[in-house]
Amino acid sequence: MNRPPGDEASFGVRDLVYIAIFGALWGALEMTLGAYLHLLQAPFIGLLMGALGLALALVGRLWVPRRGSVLMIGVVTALLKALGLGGVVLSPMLAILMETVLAEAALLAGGRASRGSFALAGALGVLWNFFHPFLTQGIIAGRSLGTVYGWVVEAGGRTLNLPLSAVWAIVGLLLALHLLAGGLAGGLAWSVGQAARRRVLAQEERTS
Amino acid sequence: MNGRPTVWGYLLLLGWAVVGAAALPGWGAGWVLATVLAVALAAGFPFRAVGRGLLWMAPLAALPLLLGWAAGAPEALVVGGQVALRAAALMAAVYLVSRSVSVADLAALLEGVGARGLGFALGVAFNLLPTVQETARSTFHALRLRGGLRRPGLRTVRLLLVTLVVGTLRHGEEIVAAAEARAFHPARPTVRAAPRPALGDAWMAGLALAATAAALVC
Repeated sequence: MNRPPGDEASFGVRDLVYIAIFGALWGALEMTLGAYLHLLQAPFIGLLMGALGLALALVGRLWVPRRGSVLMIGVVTALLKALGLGGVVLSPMLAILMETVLAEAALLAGGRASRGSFALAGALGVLWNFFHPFLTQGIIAGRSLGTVYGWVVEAGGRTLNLPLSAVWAIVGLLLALHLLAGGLAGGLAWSVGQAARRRVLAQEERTS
Repeated sequence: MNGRPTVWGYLLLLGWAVVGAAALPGWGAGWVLATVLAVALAAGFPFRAVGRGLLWMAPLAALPLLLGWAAGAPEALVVGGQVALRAAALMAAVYLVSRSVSVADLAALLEGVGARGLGFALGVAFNLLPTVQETARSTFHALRLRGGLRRPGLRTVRLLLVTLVVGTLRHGEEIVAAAEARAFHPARPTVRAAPRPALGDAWMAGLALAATAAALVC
């Protein structure tokens, strides 16, 4: 991909267009599948939407291999989400932003882009969804962290069909589930990105 | 200095409302709600619009109150009332900010603090949404017709994502060409400059401080 010389610190036109494309992909996913799952009140919506959305943002990182590109995709998605209904969007906007902040931090720490660094970024980003209720429910309901922790354990126990006495098992399982889903999303993003790149290159060769 | 509050003031109000509603003890969220309503009226929202907004919020905010009432104990009713007030204050703040601050203002603000080209990216993303949804629909149907959804799994998701990404990226080149033909460059100033804080923002900050003090004293 051609970049203007001396312009390494900021995004070029092509970078911004790719950021917009991946932001639009995640935004469309949130507006369709996300809205549908919320209507169904399905369990682990945050985990599923976070994993799929982050997978798309991480594929975007392969097209815009610059610091901050995943975060920028997250900001675009969150702002697209802001075009939705007023009060309902604050929590998902915050979740999207936090997921991409954590994924970006992991990518920075992970060094060169690889399947491993993508898996780490996905795992860290999706892990936010475990802690998200502590922030949002804590703010809205004004409860202490302990109370929200109780709710999370109760809901997790119900979904995983475990007795409340197995509190450590529930928390451990929930954390592991988030990390695993995020890691899978990161790995999936790497393989999707590589496959898409091969297909785009093949298309370009055919046309030229 | 302009007297009308800008995006700075509204974001400050939203941040204060979130922190205030969560941190102020007891019925303190009432002060947050009162302040947000006062700002809405001062910003020129007609009484009828504010009333309509409150009416929309009522069922959502009343839910915790009803749950508290259903629990039977007087303390549960108090807690339900406080949660309802907190929810109403937050919803009012988010509603006011989303109605007063355009996404373009927000993008300009973020561009001003270093996210160069965000306004452009947001505009492109917004215009791409119908295309993306159409591409997703046709990808899904094509995959279904070829039997790709018979055994759904990670492989199906991967195939769906690859096709969707490649299908959408095809439009990227056209957009880049169009932007370059118009001599667009993210480093150059775009349509609007980042808004500067105004006197109205200082008024808003003062009002929030006064309400916090009143909530703590009363």
